[in-house]
Amino acid sequence: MAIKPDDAFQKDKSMIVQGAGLLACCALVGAGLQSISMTVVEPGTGFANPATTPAQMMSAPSVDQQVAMSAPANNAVLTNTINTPALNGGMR
Amino acid sequence: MYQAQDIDVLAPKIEPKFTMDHLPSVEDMPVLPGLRKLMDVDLAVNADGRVYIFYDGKIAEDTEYVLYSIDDASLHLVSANGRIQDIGMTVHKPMRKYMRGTDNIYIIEMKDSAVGNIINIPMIIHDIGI
Repeated sequence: MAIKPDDAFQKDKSMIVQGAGLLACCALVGAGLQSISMTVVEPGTGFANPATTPAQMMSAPSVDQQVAMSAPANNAVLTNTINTPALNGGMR
Repeated sequence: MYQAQDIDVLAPKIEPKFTMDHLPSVEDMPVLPGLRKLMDVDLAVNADGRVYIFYDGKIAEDTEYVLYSIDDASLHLVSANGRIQDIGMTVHKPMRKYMRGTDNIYIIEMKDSAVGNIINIPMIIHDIGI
């Protein structure tokens, strides 16, 4: 049975995401979520913010670097919590 | 009367080729290439244990259920006729404790950065303890 995005995402305020994160980001913004904290645990991948390259993420200086970014739709603000040990493969 | 079957293990094998236009039979290709080799895939979980797979291509066959193996941290899509497709990435440690308590998963199709079809199907957890 097909499900509406509102029903799938309505309770989500924070998520752990594995992968580049772009698809999850687009889906959540498209579903109308105004803000969500996404923790990306995939080593060496970029996030929806094109300014954040894998190399920049890999060289994040602190363990938990908060990177605020503006999504193109709905003026939603997503917070991408970058965990340096994860990016270096420490959480595999 | 028993009749020995002629098996030539050295004979060149004809590997079945997988394309979206031509899907070999399950007998010829019971395991499809990893999903992530074919398309972009995100795996996500929230604090309530809701698990999501986002993908932006076409899955070869409708998925009947998902098999999550805690032992090797793998996630496989299983079709109605038993064909298996790995999502193509190992489930990372931070996600595992949230995933082990759930029994269903959302499979979310993305089309041109917009949400397409969403289905909610069972997720079966294997935990042998190795």
